[in-house]
Amino acid sequence: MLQPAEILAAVVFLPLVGALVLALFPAGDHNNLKGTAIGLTTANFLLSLLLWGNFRPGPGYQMELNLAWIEPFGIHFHLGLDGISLVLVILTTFLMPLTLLGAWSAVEHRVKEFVIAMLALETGMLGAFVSLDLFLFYLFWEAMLIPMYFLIGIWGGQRRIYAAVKFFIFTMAGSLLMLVAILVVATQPTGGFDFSLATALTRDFAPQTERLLFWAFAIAFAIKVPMFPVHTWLPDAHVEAPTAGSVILAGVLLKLGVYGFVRFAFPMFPNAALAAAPVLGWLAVIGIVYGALVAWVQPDMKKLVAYSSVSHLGFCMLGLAAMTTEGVAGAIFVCIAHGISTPALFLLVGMLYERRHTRVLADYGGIARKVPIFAFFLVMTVMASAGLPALSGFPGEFLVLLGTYTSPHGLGRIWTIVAATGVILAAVYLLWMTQRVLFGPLQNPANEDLQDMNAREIVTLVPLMVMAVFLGLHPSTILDKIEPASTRFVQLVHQGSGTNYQADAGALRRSSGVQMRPTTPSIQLPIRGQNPGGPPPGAFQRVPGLRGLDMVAPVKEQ
Amino acid sequence: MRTAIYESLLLIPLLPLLGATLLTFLGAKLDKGAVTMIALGSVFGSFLVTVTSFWVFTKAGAPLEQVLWTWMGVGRFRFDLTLGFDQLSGVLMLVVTGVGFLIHLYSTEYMHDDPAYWRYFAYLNFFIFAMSVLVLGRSLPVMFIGWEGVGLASYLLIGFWYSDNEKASAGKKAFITNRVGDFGFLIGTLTLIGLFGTADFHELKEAAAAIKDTSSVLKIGIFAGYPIVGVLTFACLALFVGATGKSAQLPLYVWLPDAMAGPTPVSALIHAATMVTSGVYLVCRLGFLFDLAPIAGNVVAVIGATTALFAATIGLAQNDIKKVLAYSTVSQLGYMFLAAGLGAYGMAFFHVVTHAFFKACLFLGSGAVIHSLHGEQDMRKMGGLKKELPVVYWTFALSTLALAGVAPLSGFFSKDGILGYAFQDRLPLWVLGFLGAGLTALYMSRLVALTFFGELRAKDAHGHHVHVHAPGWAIKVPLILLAGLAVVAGVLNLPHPVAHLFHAPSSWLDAFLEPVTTSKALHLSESTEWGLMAASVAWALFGLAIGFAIYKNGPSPVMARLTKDGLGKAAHGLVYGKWFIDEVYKVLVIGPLRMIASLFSVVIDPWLIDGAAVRGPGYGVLGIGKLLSKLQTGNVQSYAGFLVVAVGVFVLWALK
Repeated sequence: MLQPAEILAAVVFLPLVGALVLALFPAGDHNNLKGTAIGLTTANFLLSLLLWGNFRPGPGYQMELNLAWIEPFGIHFHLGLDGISLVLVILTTFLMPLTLLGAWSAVEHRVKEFVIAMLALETGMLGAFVSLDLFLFYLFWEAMLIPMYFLIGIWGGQRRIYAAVKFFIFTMAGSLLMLVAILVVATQPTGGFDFSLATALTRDFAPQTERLLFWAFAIAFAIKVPMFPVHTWLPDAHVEAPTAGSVILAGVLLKLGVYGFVRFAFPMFPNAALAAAPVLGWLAVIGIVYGALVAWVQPDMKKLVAYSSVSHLGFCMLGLAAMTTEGVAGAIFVCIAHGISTPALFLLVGMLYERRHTRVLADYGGIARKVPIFAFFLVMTVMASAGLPALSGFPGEFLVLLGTYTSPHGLGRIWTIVAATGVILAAVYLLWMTQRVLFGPLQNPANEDLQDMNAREIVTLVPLMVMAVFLGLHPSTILDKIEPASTRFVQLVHQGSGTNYQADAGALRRSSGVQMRPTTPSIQLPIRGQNPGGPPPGAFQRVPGLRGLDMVAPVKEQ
Repeated sequence: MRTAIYESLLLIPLLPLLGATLLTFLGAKLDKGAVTMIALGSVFGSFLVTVTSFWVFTKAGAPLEQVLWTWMGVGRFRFDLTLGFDQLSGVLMLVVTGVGFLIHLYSTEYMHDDPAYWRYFAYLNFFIFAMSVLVLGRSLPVMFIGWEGVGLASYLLIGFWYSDNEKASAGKKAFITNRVGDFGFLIGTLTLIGLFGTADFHELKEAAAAIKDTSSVLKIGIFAGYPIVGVLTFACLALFVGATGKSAQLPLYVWLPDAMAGPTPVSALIHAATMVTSGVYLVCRLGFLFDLAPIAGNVVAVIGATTALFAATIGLAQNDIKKVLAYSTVSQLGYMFLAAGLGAYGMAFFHVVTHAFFKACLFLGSGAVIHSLHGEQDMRKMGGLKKELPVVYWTFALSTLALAGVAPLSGFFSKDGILGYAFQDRLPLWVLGFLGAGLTALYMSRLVALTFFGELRAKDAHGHHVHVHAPGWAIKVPLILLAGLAVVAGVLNLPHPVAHLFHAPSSWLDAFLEPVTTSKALHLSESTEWGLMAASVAWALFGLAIGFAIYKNGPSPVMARLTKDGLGKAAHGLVYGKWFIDEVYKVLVIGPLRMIASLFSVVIDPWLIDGAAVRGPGYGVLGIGKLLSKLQTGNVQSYAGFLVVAVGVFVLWALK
């Protein structure tokens, strides 16, 4: 039986091994190639569920695998998970088979290269999420750039070369800055090399140096997120990328930017991060409103969804800038929720594109009558994306807003109020798109023979919809995993900078003697009422059924 | 707070949700009978569970609760999915599922020939689900699930006939306007959580009760430095913004008249009887906070009274029968807010209940009229239906009298109670309300006269009188039941003098709701109350008589002459054009916003950010690169050398 740490390594490298195996397949056998790739990624998803099962609630890294690798330079092959990495890993492995299934009929040429690129990409992303060594992280970070570049450049649309190069240059510019910063961190202050993250977290830098290093990391990650104003590569990349590329780009790749802030930029340079929080907060808030407004006037569906990503990822960054447990946990939840709704939107747009070869809103209208199943999925996805409560979009945004509003940061209240207008604007641009596509009279005769979704397409989307509902109703599934890690993150940043971070939200209630959750975030299970560790006796007695009066439990006094 | 666990509460929202789910996925394949069974069965089941819960609740003597699971428990806060059943939510649930069932029944005939019969009932069931969550949710976040859920149901049902772009747009407008209100709801919720650390109604109430001095300044917490009353006022006003969105008050009422694009039973259920009263429910539910924030209460009362009169003026000039009723709804909701703002929560809620009966009846009646005339909604083309549709006529007339406030029908007691409070506390608001009451009588008698009296003016394409299609029992039964309720519901909350006269319990509903929401007392003397009642009835009868006199033979030549030119024309134009509020929004909000968005999209993003800030340096680098290309020797070793030197310089610079 494999040890958990070995499972982790297996999850990361199985896709790469799969890619090598697929390289031996004959290039002409498309179905076989795609089928095997889907099988491999599905197996990897199931394997990653073992990680979920092995994960114990707690803030630290688990399932660590730490092997000496390039000793002279202090480089270790060090993998490990905390709750935040865990949910992002599962998101990645969950999306991969669905993406490949969604691309079944969209990719018809160079199929072998396509599936190999996708599998290599998966290893790159997974590796980046679980690396605890700066060098290793950088390796994975750069490694996933290459398959993505090819995905856009080979299977993309008309201006694919331009978009691919732009994507590459933007990301590379940031990466190089980060590389320099990593080298500095690894050699400070002794001159010897040590790339491990654990060491990096203990280093003290001169304020000036710390600020430079923070921004070198921050710019690299901000480009990936992407934050306003370095977002302009994203619409081009999305519009030109094939559906599969867009799905992975929006679903996973952008989250690596957020993850980078959480894992590296903030905890390694806490003083600089706190000093930068106002700037990041404002940029996040501007991104939310700006992205939403620009999305509203896009004639191209993919561009609309791309700008909506800028807006949604703004919520992630706002939660981080707020530096409260709720904000950070909310930010990660938004990452997951966005990783469900936006891939679904891209898949739906892709289905239309495959049929009609246009993504221009004006070419559609009134097609709901022709394609009712498609209409159902689109409306449902739009509602999840717009943050309708009880669907996956809501808990994250709510927690980000809550964490920001109750943040000790003086700007928190203003940010929240501006960011909350993004909730209105999300409804504006998403319903605008829905109406232009689905409703009104069917005017374009080219849509007369539009075919509704086929079984494969339905199978692709159903898991996403199920998750959208499940995570909306029971977000604790994920929140319980990410809360300890989020708390630890907040503590790391604030301890590192010596500030107190817990604003006294609910001041009135505590002074009035009603107990609330402990202000010191703890990892134990939430308590209720005045009996920590369990409900008051008799209060939660379950009384089943409609059987007259005996179903009333003993009246409880709180 | 004493509560009793009751694990069947979930069934109230769950049954309609199951119905909606079944119909969504299987509806297209099922035959009409099965669809009807699922749709009506689930709502009737929900109604039965509500009745049972009510009984259990009375026996237990404490609010019922059911905790499903922890929804979000992160950091300092914890939000459970908790349902609660108390006096307030209990009464409203009876109305929602009871009236909801009657309207489902009515719809089986009204929507019988629609090809998307199943889809209609899937949405309608979903609405009952969302509305139950709104009412039963025991904390603001859980309530918000329902709050936005009913918004979605409303969106889908207004745009039910989506092939018509105008109807789809009306749905979109409703959803977005509601979202503007939801913004306020969210900010208010966050403020309360920031202040109290909770959003649970029971915990909020306990915490609020523990506040000794609202003017004291907070010393700790995120609101340190602010007086408690200031924070509370802000929270209440923000939540009230949410209420104005959902309950169509100034300035966010604009979506409701357009919402009439939906099927008429939907207008009756969602846009008259239930959903639009959610805002009033919210204010009543949080009455204990509004009591602590008097400025917020005043704002609520003023907005309510102003909306009551404002919407009534628009109702006078509309020709579409549903539009008149829509503005009437906006106006009546204004009365409810007037009462709630004055602290008369019981009276506000009483009007919610009576209004649900008579306005649902009126909408269903108008639906029967429209149905019988094959879709005609213009009152100028109706007339003479009194003989053709006797049941519709009589139920409609009774509900009209109830709405106009004629004693002893239900609307008289609820509206007169509200005006009594206004008379006692805010005389200027009473004037607005009293004027509005007269206009109510006037526009309703105009509506009844144009629709049911005079000659039948409906003509088909060939100029022949149309065949009036008589309604069946599924339409008649709900009408009769609702009209009956509209007549008798007044006994729920009899004013003191009347109760005294008949030895009946006075202000029963006020007293019943007392544990949830403490209403202010009415101190008027008995003679003053009698006087006010007499004045109200006389005023209502006067309004009815005028309207009837002018319009009993159809569109009035007198009015046509009056509004032909000059001041009359201007006044008519203003109210007919709905005071041009929609246009103001278009010019002042939507237009500029869209222009800014286009500016961002077409100029700022590609040229300023992408061009100047991002690509500019890129091209700069490119230029330098051209120069440096002279260094390009093709020699790999020298490249590597450059690279090493460059990285080395960078590292040294960074380490400095």
